[in-house]
Amino acid sequence: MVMRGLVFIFSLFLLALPAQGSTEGRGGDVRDWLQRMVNAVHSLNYEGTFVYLHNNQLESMRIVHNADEDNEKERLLSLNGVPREVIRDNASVTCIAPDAQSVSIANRVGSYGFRAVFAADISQLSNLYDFHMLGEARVADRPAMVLAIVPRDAFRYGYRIYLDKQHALPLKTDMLDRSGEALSQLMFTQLQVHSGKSEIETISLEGKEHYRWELQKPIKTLQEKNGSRWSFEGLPEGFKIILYSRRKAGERGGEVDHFVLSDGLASLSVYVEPAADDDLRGGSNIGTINAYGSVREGFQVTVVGEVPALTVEHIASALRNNLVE
Amino acid sequence: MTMKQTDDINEQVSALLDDELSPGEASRILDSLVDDPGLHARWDRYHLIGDVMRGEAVRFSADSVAQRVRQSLDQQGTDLPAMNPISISRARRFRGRWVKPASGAALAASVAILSVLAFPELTRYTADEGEVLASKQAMPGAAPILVESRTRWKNLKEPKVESKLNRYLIDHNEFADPGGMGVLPYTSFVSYDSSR
Repeated sequence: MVMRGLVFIFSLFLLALPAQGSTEGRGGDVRDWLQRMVNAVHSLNYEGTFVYLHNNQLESMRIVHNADEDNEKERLLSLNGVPREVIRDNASVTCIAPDAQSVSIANRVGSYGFRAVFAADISQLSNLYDFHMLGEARVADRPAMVLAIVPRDAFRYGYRIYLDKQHALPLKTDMLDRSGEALSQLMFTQLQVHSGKSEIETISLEGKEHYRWELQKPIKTLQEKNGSRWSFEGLPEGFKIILYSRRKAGERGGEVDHFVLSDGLASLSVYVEPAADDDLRGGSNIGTINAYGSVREGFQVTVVGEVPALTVEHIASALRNNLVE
Repeated sequence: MTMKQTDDINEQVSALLDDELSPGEASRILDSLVDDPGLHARWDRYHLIGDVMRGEAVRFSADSVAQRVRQSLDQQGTDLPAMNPISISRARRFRGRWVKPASGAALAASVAILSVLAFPELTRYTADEGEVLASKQAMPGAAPILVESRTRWKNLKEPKVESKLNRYLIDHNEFADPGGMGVLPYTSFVSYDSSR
């Protein structure tokens, strides 16, 4: 979760820095390190164990990542509680949930046009966040460089990232509130980088004949938002629609409008569908992810994302129905 | 064994539960407990009833309790209550209420019913309250329970709402991962509970 946001951001950030051209020597260092991080995360073969702390909950997970020129494959396994796991490659995502006795296999969402879409946000990033090189530290018995990304307002979280000096992999990532307090911490306790691929075992499911196997249909994603009756007014600074899709809404039979909004670093989703009684009303959160739901003219609006509670509520209220206006 | 003797032994079993016996008396009654299957079962029932009445719903088998008390006696020789590794103290106000009238099939039936209610509690335990197990001052209602820590959406009681939010979250992760492969975009799925 944390990492996803980071990698996402960094892709943007890397593009953004040269454009603004005003980062001092230290900023240049930050850019170099983040560039290395993005490359390392995708191109190296590594495996390790990390802990994830959020809301006094401590979880432990294992990750194995393999990469070659054409493909990446990754396995993520929960080491405590229910042994859930996710296996991903370029084409598909397999989620195994023994507690629900379900295996869900989905095709990856096509990534066409993503970079172009995000490029529009890049110039905004330095207006929303400050970037710092904090110094050096040691994590998982490895020397690390410490970087910080500090938000300029209360609509987004900040990050403190400890990058392995040798490989530039993120050894520790703290998600921070505005005052710099850590909301969540993700830290490797052990990490190995291999020159070749390591084994990603095949999953062994006991009693798999009892599992529910879902093959999710590819989701068709529209690039333009013209088709929607919905729009946003008064979004927090920097947040823009980067994706829009309209699709069938499961059992309910209706359709759901799905918007992904991003400020270039933080992202959230807005779902709009006919209201029902199993919908979220008001705010909730899980770890650092906040959600807010409300009913608007017979439609349920649900906002979910790794952003502060303030942001999801604000964005839910920023939705406008074009057909009514 | 006369009725009087039986009553005496019952009273002693009761007193043992209440930590009211001297180490010598305790040792004797424990020997009786081990040797006499009837007393053995009575100890079990008394213990369970006392637990349930005090709302503790924690139950140890006579074997384990007798064993532990004996170990304690053997090791310490004196001061049974202070050294007892597990609580066998009783709330004084219940004493006698459940000892004397407890007899016959009616008791057995009620114990059976109470057992059904009480036993699931044994599978629950919280780290926070774990020490209560070893404390003599276990308060009614403060029974140690195991609650597996799981991350859940806050303030939500409806599983359907939670389930839907989980689907949204996983969906969002896939869309919001433009780089294709982040390090951990699915940490949420692996980490978070998604009750269906």
